[in-house]
Amino acid sequence: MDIKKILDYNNRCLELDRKYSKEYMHLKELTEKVSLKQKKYYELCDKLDELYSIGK
Amino acid sequence: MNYVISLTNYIVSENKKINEKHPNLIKYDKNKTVFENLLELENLYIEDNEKYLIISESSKEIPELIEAKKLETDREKALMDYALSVMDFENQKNDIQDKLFSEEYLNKMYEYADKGVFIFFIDTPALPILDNDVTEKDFLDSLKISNYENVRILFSHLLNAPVKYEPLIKKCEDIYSVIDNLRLGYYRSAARTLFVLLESEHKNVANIYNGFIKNKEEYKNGYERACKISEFVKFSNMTRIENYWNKINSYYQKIVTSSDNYIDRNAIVHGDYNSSKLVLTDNDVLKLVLLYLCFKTIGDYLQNNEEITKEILQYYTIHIAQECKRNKKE
Repeated sequence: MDIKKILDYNNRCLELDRKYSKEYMHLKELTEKVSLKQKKYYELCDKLDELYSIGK
Repeated sequence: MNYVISLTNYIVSENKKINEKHPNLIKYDKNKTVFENLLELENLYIEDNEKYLIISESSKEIPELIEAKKLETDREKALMDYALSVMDFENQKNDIQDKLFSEEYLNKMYEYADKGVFIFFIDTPALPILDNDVTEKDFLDSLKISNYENVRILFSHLLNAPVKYEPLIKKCEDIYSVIDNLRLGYYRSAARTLFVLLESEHKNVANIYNGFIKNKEEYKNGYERACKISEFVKFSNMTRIENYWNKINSYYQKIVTSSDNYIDRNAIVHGDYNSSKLVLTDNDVLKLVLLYLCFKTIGDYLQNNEEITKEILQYYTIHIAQECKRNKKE
């Protein structure tokens, strides 16, 4: 492995990361929003599954 | 509305409290699809059938059903909020990616995929693949620094998931074992685990909607599963999913059918007596890691959509049943 080459490659990735950071952060925020909604829904599903399985 | 849903769910869950009180009155028929069972139950409800009325009356004395009735309204609202947020996310992601990923960049990604280096998981074109002096080997090398730390980062969304159910816990253990084996230089062990992960994902994705509207099908082999997945992909909203899947499918077919010049799944899993294909490199394993990551991205997307669609469809039919009943009374 050529360490110098890898470091150069990583620097180029960082530059591109910076270039697209606005879009990346926006997608990250949306993902977090979806995760929160999903969590709330799953919690209710778990509670209901528990209720329906009593006496099973 | 919430009462009909909670009672329906209660019956579908085959709760003993109802079954013992009224044996064989309304039974969940395992030979029928989930949807057929639901429709039959809703017909009894629309017709005010005696069976439904008996169960409906007696269920009012079951405390957990009374509590469930309250929670069902919250669940329906939470589902709709969740579904809308997923739709919004998907639409915005498609728009952003359509703008950011040029034709040239996409063609380079497909070129990488033809060489077994799958990078379809990236959200933005933040890999310098268009630079003339960069090759796919540079990307693979970049994953190896700090003892494969970047491989762990690629899976951080799974490894650091706030809520983990049993299947995900097992998958995370397998991913950690792949990284450990890569670090130790046990490439065949890492590859074996990856083949298990790939096959499990292949089976899970092929089985979405199975037994829900049509009767449950048994898929005899990987080819049948792949055909099924191709059907789901066609109806998907994810940008370029069909192109991504075709590349993944074509590569996966080659590694499971012992094709020349490809990693040989059968030789590695079963351990050939004398096969030159048993010798693997770190790059071979990294290619499998990327294949799994990209396939899992598509698989999670399809499975997530399946879950939401099935739930919404059930609520939708119950709403229709109530509307039918109202119209009938008028």
